[in-house]
Amino acid sequence: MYFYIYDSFLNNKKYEVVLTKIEARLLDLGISGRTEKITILKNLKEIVEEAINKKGAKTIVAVGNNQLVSKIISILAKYNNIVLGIIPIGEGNHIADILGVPHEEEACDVLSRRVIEKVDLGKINQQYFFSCIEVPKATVVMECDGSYQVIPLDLNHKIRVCNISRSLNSKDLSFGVRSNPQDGILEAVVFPQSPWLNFLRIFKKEKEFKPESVFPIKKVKIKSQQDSIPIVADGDIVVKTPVMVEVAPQRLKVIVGRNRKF
Amino acid sequence: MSMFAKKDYGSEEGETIIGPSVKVKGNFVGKGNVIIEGSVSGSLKTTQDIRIGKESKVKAEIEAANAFVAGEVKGNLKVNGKVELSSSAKVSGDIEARILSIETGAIFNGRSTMVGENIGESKKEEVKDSKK
Repeated sequence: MYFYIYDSFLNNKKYEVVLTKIEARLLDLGISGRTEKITILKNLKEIVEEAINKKGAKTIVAVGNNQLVSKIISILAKYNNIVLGIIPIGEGNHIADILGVPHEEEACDVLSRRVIEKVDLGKINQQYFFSCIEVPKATVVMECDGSYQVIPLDLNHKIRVCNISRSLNSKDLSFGVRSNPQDGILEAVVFPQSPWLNFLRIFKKEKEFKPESVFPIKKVKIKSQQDSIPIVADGDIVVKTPVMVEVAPQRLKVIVGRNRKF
Repeated sequence: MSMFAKKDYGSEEGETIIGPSVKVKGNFVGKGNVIIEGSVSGSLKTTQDIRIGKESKVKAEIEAANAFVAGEVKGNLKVNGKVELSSSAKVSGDIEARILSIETGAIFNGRSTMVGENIGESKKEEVKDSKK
């Protein structure tokens, strides 16, 4: 049974038309199911758990953008047989783009075709992430796989630990999706952050830049050399150092499209 | 084409790249190619190739399928296939390999052991053949 969870930003009137089209398409395809909108009265975790435990949902569909998808992934990771689907709406949908799920109404056809892949997730302390985590400043030491340490020498560099993408947003897809989300490996990537690059970004002429260092790992402990620093997972969840990041192999079942990037 | 021609970093799955702005300490064990442009101390082991760049400083015991060295290595190299020292290589340590290639200008202080062919026995076979 499909259970659709609508993000709260979709209450805005400008989304009325697109939502009507989506609902009509789901009905045509015979995959309309129960729906729930996120409100301040009920939190997302309660909605998902109730859908699975009490309403018998086998597929949870996130209707919204990356923020909602990341949060649902973190909850679904604890379940073995629940499938994630996505209907991307609005800006900030790089997870859907990587999975090959087109936006809005077209996503319904992908849901209906129901091509399911098992993908790895990353785990940062007790939270799961799908795409990557970012350490904003390289004032950290990484202990990789319990056997060697990586110490960045340029503190202005950034670090990402990637499961599926080395980028936090779809504009950076040119950065390359090298990480394979089905190989049981994460990649710790160290790359420069230069003022020149930021200048290029302002004029949207950012060219592809390449990571300087790449470490394929299964587990990494990240400790700050100075004060505790915040680490952002999937562009949304924030965890402070020290953190343990590891791969959770084949942790999530997800509906994918033909144009997936893996 | 130079073996150290700029390549597309991160182009191969499982490849490790140790860039110039990081230092690696400890026992690294990998399955893919390892490209070093920075500083490493400890030990480095992979089933594939190791490429040590011109500016890199490696103080480690190295085991690999093949090794291409253009930088500084203090430690022993144990390789199944070929070790290639370019003109800028500086190696202090022993090398064990099937094939060893040293370019003019490379500095090598250590012992080399060629593995694979038993030179004594093959000479005996040559003598037998010539007698026939």
